[in-house]
Amino acid sequence: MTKRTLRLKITLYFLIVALLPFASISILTYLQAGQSISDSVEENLSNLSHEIGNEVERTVFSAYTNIKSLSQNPIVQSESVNVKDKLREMRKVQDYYKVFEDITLVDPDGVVLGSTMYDYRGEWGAKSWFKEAKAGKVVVSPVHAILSPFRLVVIVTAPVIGKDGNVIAVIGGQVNMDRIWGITDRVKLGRTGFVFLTDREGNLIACPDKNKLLYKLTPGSFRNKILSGMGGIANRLIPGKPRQICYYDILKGYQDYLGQGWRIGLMQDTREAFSFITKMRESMTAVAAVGLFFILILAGLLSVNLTRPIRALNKMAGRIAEGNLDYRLKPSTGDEIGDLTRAFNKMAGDLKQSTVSIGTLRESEKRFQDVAESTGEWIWEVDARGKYIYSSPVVEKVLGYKPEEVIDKYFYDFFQPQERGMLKKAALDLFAKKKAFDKFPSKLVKKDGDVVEVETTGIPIISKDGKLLGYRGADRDVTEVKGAQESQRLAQLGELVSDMAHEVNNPLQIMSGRAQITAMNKSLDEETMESMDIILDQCQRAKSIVQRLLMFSKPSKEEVKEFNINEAISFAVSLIEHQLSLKKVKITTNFTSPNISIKADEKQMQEIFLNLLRNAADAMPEGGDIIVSTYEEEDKVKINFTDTGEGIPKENLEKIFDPFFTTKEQGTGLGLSVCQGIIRAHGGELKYTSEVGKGTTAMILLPGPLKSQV
Amino acid sequence: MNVYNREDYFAPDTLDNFEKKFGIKINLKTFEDEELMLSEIQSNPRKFDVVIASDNIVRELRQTRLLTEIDSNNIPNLKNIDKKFLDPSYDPGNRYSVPYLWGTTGIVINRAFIRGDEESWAVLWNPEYKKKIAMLNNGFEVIGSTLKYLGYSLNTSDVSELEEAKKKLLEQSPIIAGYLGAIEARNKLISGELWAVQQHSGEGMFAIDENEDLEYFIPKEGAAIRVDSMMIPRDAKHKYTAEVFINYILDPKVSADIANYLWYANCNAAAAPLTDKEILESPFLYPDEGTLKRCEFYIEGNGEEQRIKEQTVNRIWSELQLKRKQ
Repeated sequence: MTKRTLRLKITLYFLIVALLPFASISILTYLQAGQSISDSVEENLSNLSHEIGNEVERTVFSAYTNIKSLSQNPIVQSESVNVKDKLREMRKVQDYYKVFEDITLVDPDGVVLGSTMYDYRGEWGAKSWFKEAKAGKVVVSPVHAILSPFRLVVIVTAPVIGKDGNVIAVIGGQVNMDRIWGITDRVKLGRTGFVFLTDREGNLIACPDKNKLLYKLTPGSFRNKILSGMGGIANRLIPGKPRQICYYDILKGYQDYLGQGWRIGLMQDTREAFSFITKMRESMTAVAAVGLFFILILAGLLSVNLTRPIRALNKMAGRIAEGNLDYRLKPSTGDEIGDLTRAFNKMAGDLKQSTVSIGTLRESEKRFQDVAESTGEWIWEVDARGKYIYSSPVVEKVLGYKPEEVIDKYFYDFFQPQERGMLKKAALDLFAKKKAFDKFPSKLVKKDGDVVEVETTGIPIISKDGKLLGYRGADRDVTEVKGAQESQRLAQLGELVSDMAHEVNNPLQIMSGRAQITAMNKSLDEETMESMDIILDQCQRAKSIVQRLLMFSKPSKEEVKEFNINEAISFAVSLIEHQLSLKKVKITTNFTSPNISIKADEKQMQEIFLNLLRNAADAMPEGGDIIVSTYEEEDKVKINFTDTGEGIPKENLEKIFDPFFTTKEQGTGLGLSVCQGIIRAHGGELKYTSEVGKGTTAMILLPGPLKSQV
Repeated sequence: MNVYNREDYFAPDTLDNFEKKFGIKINLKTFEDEELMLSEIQSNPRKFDVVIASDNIVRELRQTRLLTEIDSNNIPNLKNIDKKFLDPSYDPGNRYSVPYLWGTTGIVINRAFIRGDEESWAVLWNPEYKKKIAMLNNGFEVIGSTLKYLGYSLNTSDVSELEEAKKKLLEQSPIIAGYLGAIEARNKLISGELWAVQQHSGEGMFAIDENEDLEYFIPKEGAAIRVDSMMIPRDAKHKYTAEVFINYILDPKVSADIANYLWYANCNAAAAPLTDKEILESPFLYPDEGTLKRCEFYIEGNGEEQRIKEQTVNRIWSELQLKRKQ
C-alpha cells in the first residue's frame, strides 16, 4: 500500500514536472503555428483573389477597349459603308480578339441594324447601356440573362461618331459570362474551394453551380460583409453544412475601365482551408501521445527504481519485526537511500545486541517477580513522595486490593484514620533522612474495612547524584503471628488456671463440706447460722468460678451433631426470658428461615447464646430490647444479638475478648473469651460492633448452613 | 415605392387611396411598350418595386431571373383570385407573379368605315384600309395573332409555320400604320385616325366607351388570352411594401373599382359582387364558352422548342421592325 502510493506519487510528480514544459511548449507551438498558418492561408487567399479579380477585370477591360476601338474604326464610322460591310469589319474584330460572341450595330433610335452572330432581339432604346452610349460613353452593362438559350452576358457599348460629331450608331459587343467563368471556375481551391462573383446587388454572376446564377446571396451578415466594398475574411455557417471560410473583395476595374462594383469571393470549407492546421494538430497529437507514452514509461521506471530500495528496506523491517535480526541489506547506492540501508543494517545489529541484554533483563525480572509473588510479603516501591509505583500481587492477600488499585495511591492512605497523621509524619521524617527502616509496625485498613497489622521494611532508592527517588520494600502481615502468640499465651494461661483451679477446688471442697457439717449443728446460735449460710453460699460461688475457669482452660469435649439453630436459640431464650423480663428486657427472635441447620456442639452453643443474652441484658440496666436474628448466607450462618443498650466505648471494644477483662463488678472477664474460644474451635468467628448510646450487636459467624440431604 | 405599369392601367384613385391608407408615397412610371419596360427592368432591376405586365413578360422576366419571389404570407388576399388563373404555365405556383386583370387580344374596328368585313383577322390584311390598320408593338402578339389567322396554334414552335407567319406579316407591312403601343392605338381608334387595330379587349372596351362607332371582337380564327400580373423585380428596394401594395390591389373593393373604371375582366373573383353588371355581362370581356374555346393562352414549350420559338420570333420581329424602318 505504502509503496504503491509512493510510486504513484513519484510518478505523478514526475509527470507534472515533465508534462508542464512539454504541454506548454506544445500549446505555444500549436497556437503560434496555428496563427501563422491562419495568417498565411488568409494571405494566400487574398493574393489569389487579387490575381483572379485582375484577370476578370482585364477580360472585361479588353472587351471595353475592343469595342471602343471598333467604334472608332473608319469603316464602322463611315456613313457611306453599308451595314453588311460594317458587320464584316465587326466580325473580323470579333474573330480576332475572341472576346465577343456577338457584336450588334444599333441605330440611334434603338433599331438593330445588324449583328454579327444572332438576330438579336429588338428593343434597345430603353436599355441603359444604349442610352449612355448614345450619350457618348463607353459602357459596360450589368450582367443580365438573355434567353434562347439562357445565358449571362454583359454588353459593352460604345457610340459611333459620324463626321459631323453626331452619334450615328451604337455598337454593342456581347460578352458571354462563360468567358469570365473560364477564369473563376478554373481556379482550384482544394476539394471544396471555389470562386464566385456577385454584382453590386449581391446577385451571383459567377459560381460553379450555374443554377444559382443571378440569385441573391442569402441576406445576412455574410452578404453584408461581401457587399461592404472592402476586403476581408468572413465565416459562413449554413446549418447542416461544413463551416466555410470566405475571402472577399471588391473588383476595382482595370486601367481606365472603372469596373462594375463586382465582388469576388473565395470560398472553402474551413476544415480544408486550414487542413494544414488540422494536419499539424494531428501530427502534434501523435507526437504528444508518443511523448506522453515515453514520459509515462520513464515515470514508471523512475518510481520503480526509487521505490525498489525502499521496498527492500520495508522487507527488512518486516524480517526484523519477525525476529530475524541477522537479515542484512547490501547498500546498492552511495546516496541517501544507501545511507538509510547502512543505518538499517546498523540498527539491526544494535537491535540484536540489545535483544540479548533485554533477554537477561527479562530473566532477572522474572526471577524477581517469582520471588515477589511466591513470598508472603507484599513487595512494593514508592516514589519520593510516598506514592506506590509498584506493587506485587501479594497486596491482594494483605489488603484485599489488587496491585493496580494500589498504584498511584500514597502509602499513608492505608493507615487507620486515627493514626494516619502521626504515622505519615514519622514515615516522611524517615524519607527526609533517606533512612532505611526495618519492621516498622503499623495497622492498615483493608479494602473490606478490617484492620491488618503489618511490619514494614524498606530501603531508600538513591539516585547517582544522591537524590531520593523513593523506597523499595515489603510489608509483612503479622496479624496471624500475633494471633499465634496469643493462643500460646492463652494455652499457658489455661494450664495455669487449670492447675490453680484444681488446687483451689480441693480446699473449697473441704471448706464447703465442713461448713455443711457445722451448719447441721442445731445448737448454733442465729448469728453463727447466718455466717455458715454465707460461707456455704460463697463456697458455692467460688466453685462456680472454678468450674468456669476449668471450662475456659479445657473446653469440654465437643459433641458435634446436626441441629436447628433456631430451635437452640428459642430454647436458650425460654430459659432466660422470664428472668430478664423482670429487668424489663424483652427478647424478640427474627428467623429469616424456619430451619437453619448447622453441625456443632449444641450444649456449648446454648452456653454461648445464654452468655450473649445475659451480656446484652447487662448492658441495659434500665431495660430494653434484644433482637436475635438468624441468617443463612452462602457458606455461613449468621446470628446477631442486637441490644438497645448503652454501647461499648471504642477503647474497650478491642479488649472485650481479652481474658479477665470485664467492666462488671462481679464479672470474671472470662465469658466472651470462652465464647470466642468455642466459636473459633467450630471454625467460626465472634465479632462485636457497637455505638455508644445506641447499642451493641454481637455477630456469630459459623460454617454452614447444612443443606438437607435427600 | 416605385410602380411601373402600363399607361392608364389603374383606377384614377387607386394609388391615392393607397397613399392615404398606408402613408406611403408611390412613384408611378408608365410604359406603352412592354419591350421598353423589359429593357428598363433589365437595365436596372432595383429601380421598381412593383411592375405589371402580361404573361409573356412575366415569363421572360422570370427566365432571365429579374424577379424576386413573392412572400404569399404577406398577401392574404391571394385567396380572392379565381382559381383558373392560379398556377399558370408562365409562372408555375405563382412564385413570382400575382394575376391582376385578364383579357383577349382581338380587333377593334370602326364600324363607321368598315362595314362588310366578317369578324376575321383578315380585316387587318385588307389593302382597302391601307394605313388605317395597326398592329401592337409586341412581337409575340403580332406573330401570335398571325398564326391564329393562318389557323395555327399561337404556341407553335414549327419554324415553317413561323416563317409562314413572317411572310404574311411582310405582306401586311406596307399597309399598316405601324406597330403601336396599346394606348396609342386606342387613342388613334377613338380619334378615328385608325379603323382596324389589333387590340387588347380592355383597351378596346375603353375605346368603345369613348367612340360609339368602335367595336371589339374576337376573330373567328381565335385569339390569345392574356393575363396581366403584378411582379416584384429582383433587386427591388421595398419588397415588403410591394407585397402590401399587391395585397391592397387584390382587395375586392379596390379591384372592383379598377375593373369598373378600366372595363376589364378581373382575375379577382371576390371583386365580382362589386363589379358593374355591364362588365360582367359583356360578351367581349367575358366571352362565352364557345368563343373561349377558340382562344389560347401562351404556353411555354419544353426547353428546345421554346428556344427555337423565341429565337425565331425574335428574329422575325427584328426583321419586321427593320422592314418598317426602311
